[in-house]
Amino acid sequence: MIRSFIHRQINEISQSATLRYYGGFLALVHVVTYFFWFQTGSLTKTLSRTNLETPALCWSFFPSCWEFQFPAGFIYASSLIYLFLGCAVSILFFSARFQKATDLAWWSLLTLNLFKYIWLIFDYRAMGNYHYMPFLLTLCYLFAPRKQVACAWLLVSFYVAASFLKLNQEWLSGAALFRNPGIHGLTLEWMCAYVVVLEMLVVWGLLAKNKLIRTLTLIQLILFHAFSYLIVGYFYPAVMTCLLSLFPLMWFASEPPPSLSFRSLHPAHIFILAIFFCAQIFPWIQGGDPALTGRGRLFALNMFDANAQCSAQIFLRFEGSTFEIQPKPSLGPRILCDPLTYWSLAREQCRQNRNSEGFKDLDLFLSSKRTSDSSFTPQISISNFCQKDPPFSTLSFTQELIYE
Amino acid sequence: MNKLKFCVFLILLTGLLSLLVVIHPDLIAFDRLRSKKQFKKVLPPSPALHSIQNRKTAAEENNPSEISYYRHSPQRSGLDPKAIVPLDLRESWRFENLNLGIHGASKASPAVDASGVYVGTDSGWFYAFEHSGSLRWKFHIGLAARGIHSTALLSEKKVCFGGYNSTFYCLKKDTGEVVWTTTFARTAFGASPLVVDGFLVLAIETTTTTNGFLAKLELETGKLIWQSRWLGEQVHSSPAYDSATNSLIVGANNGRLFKIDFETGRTLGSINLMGPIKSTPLVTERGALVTSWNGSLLYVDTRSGKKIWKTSLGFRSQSSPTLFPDSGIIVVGSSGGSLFGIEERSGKILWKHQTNLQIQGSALGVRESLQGPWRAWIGCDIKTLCALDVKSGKILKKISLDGDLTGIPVAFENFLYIALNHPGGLVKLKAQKSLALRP
Repeated sequence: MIRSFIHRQINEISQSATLRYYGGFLALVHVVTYFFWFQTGSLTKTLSRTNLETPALCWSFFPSCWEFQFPAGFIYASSLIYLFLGCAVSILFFSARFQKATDLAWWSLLTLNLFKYIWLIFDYRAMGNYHYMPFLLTLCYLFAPRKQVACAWLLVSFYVAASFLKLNQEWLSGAALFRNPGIHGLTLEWMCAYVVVLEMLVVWGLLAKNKLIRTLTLIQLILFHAFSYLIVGYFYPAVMTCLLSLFPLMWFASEPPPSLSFRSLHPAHIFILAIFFCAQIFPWIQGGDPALTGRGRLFALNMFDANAQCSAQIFLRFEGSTFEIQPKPSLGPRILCDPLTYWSLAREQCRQNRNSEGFKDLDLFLSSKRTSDSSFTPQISISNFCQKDPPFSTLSFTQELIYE
Repeated sequence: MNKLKFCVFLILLTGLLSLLVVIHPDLIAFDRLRSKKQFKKVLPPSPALHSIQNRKTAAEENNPSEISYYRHSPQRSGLDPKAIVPLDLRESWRFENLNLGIHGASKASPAVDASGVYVGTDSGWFYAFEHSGSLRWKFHIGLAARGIHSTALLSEKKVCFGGYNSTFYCLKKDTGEVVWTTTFARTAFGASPLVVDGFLVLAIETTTTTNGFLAKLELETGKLIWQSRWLGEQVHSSPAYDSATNSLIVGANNGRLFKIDFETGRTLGSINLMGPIKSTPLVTERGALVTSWNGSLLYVDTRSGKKIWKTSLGFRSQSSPTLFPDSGIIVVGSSGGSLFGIEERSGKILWKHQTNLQIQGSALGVRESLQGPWRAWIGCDIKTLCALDVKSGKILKKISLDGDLTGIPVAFENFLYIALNHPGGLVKLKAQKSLALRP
């Protein structure tokens, strides 16, 4: 049954030039990821645990990730294999003409994704929307029926879900932008408002039958991502370009494009979209502000939800003396104020000091706020952290994450 | 036609939503300029916004007699009515290398009560000693290049102080465990805290821009009650409390002496002394006395804001005045090396000593014996502590020190405690013979 299911998926891809080329673009995402992760050496330092400034940051579901330390040589070799695979898979997709080639390409893309996401789970720093979206889209591409329709609707859903994250003072005032694009005041506010309208409403134009509407929509999205380079760098726009390539591929392919209307949705598509939107809503019903608790990072979008500010203190208590540490890890703005980050740092301090003479325990405090909030909200407040070794729960329904 | 209508509709909807978003007050984060005529730049209330970690101790903060202050009272009198310190003192013990010579500001003075001796240092360490000299505990504040320069405040169970790392701490006196802390981002606490009616008042300097403000917090929990508006410059001066007007008197580096309402934090008035004010004002029944860098000692009526008198000290001063009640004489120093005895009634200089020391510290007023006269203890020369006769200005006793004294000596029972600049340490001086404290 599984075999026939997979066979059907591969068949659908092999019979559609659009899907074959799109597979190539999905594989290209991995090529771009290689440059983002490994060329600067940041992930190498992280996974080899030689980044003394910031030790291992573990996902809440993998708290023992710090035990895995990979030799730099191994990481280097693996990264080259990853790059080679990415290039090879994309070439395979672009040039695949026969069933067997598509077969190989399909399995290679699946392997490539597994390869990437295995790396990702070893350190929380590797997280990001630019991995979350290609991951979901690739799953959709590999396993959903009527892939063009499924992927098109999922792509539009990404934008719509992201627009709801921007319906707040933080975004609309421009305060959420952690890098100034050189625009200030009223102009900036208008542009931020336009982005919300673009993502919430205009983006549906991608599904329109009318060529003018869908072309204009795509142009606006391209311009938006091009401009976002000034704020987020090259990686995000490059990934989105690869993902959005589905639409021009559909429009300019020799085969007739499928209908993208709501009526053309398969029940499986509705199920996928329902799961996706439930995942976006879940952090909000858990309690607390997901932008500050970081709860949504596991299974929801979090792009520019807030430019969080935080104050963290760790008090290391020894016999007769106490040292305060105000950790300021050099991390990206998305996770700099995540409670999970400081939970990991505190656990690292417990490990480092466990055998130190006179060490008793440590206390951990973290408060954070959005830029536009008037006061800080405590996120973590716990004494005797090492002894209690509290678990970090991302699935609980309480406001506080770790609170005494 | 349908397409056209749809496009027009889309454009109109986009425009409407954008307009709504831009003009709706709830959706705008910051004030912005609307027109030149209406322009009034409203600064955010302070650069910060604080974080609190809150643990409860047993309620114990409402007994004012249990509070030990910098300069001994909310009015910053500088007089200790309980201690008796004779002139013949000798060293009891010392703790070496207390301060390392980091930063030129006056060093923290010790805070002393029955439970022990507490002092912060410029290296970022805060120490708690037993009266015997043994170290009870020490606490290091994180990421503070200039350490601690403010004198701690002692309540029955807590010791509270601020550092140059934007954080104010309250720790348990017995263990050094954190009770609560509060952080005002990108600020420094150079001034010493004040407690009135169970509320802490802090003078806070901002470090990214040169400005300052006051904040009022609950002593027990650290909960913020109010933050004042910007005072225009950094506030190194410790605030004093004027019970007659229920207000706080504090000076800032822009030369202004402010009167701030204790209940609301509203600025009630200010006067310009034309020179930075780095000393702590002294509040009396008549008004407030304060020195400034324009080389004057000013006496101002805190009710009316009118000058009572102004006396030139000849050189800039950051010494806090001490008024001796038996003689009505104010003892104050200047950075030109002069020590003055000034008549409180008229501002007339009654005596003057020239020393070799840029006098940054202030005089401690303490009796020499039961029913005996008040003496002024102050750093009077390079590495020298002196006891002065307040009426004549005569130096009655000189004690050599290992470092300069830029803070104030602190008395407890028959003992004097002094925290010295590098290379001196924390020194306890005791009487050669024990004295009765009470008849």
